[in-house]
Amino acid sequence: MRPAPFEYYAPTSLEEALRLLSEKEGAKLLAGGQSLLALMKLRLLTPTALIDLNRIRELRYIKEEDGWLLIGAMTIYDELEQSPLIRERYPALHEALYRLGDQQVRNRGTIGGSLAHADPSANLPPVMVALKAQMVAARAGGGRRVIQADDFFVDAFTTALEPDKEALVEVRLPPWPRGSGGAYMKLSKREIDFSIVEVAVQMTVGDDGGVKEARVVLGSVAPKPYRAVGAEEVLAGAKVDEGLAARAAEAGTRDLEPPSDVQASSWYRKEVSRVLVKRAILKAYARARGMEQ
Amino acid sequence: MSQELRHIRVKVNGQWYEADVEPRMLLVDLLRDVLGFTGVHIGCDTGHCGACTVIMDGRSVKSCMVLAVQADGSEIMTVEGLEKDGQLHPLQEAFWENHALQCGYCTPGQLMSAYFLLSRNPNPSEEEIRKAIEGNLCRCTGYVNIVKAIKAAALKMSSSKAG
Repeated sequence: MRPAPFEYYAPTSLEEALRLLSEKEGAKLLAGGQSLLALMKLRLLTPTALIDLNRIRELRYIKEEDGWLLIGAMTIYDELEQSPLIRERYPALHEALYRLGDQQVRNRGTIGGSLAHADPSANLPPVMVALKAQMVAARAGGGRRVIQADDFFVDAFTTALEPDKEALVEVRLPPWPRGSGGAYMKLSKREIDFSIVEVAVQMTVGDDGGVKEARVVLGSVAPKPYRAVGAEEVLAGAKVDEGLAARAAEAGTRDLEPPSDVQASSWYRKEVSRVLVKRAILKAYARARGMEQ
Repeated sequence: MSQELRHIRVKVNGQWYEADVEPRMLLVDLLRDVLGFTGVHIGCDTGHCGACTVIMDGRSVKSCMVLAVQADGSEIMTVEGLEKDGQLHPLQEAFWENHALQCGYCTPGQLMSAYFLLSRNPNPSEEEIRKAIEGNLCRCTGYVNIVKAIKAAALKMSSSKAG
């Protein structure tokens, strides 16, 4: 099984890659290739040219700046999954990476590739929205802009990046204050499968045990990450126990109308959403209070 | 549409090879059809089964999910690279001794995933072993013995190092 013919470019600088992107009509950027090459082999995609980003060293890093964590778009999942900093500060992201694909995919796939692909069942998009991440988009000539994760995911397989012009070059995770914690959970038939339902929760809890801020985001239930605003409202100011988490989960998933497909019916997805949201809230709350790793 | 050929150099199991390839050629096809490393198996060709797993620059990858041109300048290790001077690698011996293969189709991929695991975790727990081979499907469902074999190889390798 082979992809249809294409021209191949392997630039070694970001500027060169962006120039090629703006010049070559019908070209696509190749990151880790763990989705794009699969789609090309099935001839679901037939780009005229591939601009391979794998030789651009300046796009592969994890660094801290003013409390923010900055991640180069071509950083592979495995490096992120192994990062003690991410495990400690962003446990929801660590869990999503641990449960992403398999080892071979994590050795090749990149954070930027996954987010730009914007698969509705991918692990990372809901986590980015829960963490209030920022996406840095670049275009030829040095133009850059920052897009909030809430605005980045527009529709299934569609982001706010301008087609044929912009590339995602950096992911920025904001510092969350002391008393913060998060959790990521997903249900899939086999560990390596895309999720049937997934949920990312991030929250900050005050010294009195009341929730100061909470973000509850579902994946695989809508074309883009779904903010369970109803759950966030119930959590605001509340002290979390089993009963409250159940009420928040109920409120957050009441309006869901998930798709039915070969993996699961809409009804089943909605039921699992409610259960996972409750569990993830309890786990994130325990972590925020320092009761659990 | 005719395709311009690209000249690439790849080091496989310690030896450099050169080839002219179409950009759309997959690494697995280069290894099998051009260079003759047929120990690299093609199971599904869609990135699901892991039979084509090789080590590329120190990391396990599915060679059906990498283009041959992307391997230009890289070091590849296939299952053929495990044995040295007629001596089986401890992983191969352990697979043999623990009956960790039935039909054998997934075995090269299982070995390379196990090799990557042990390269950075010489003493893995059972859970870590199972996690490490989650991308390698065994349709004979022989996982119990595969896990046993990897555990045995880890023991053998760490005791031979200690001795």
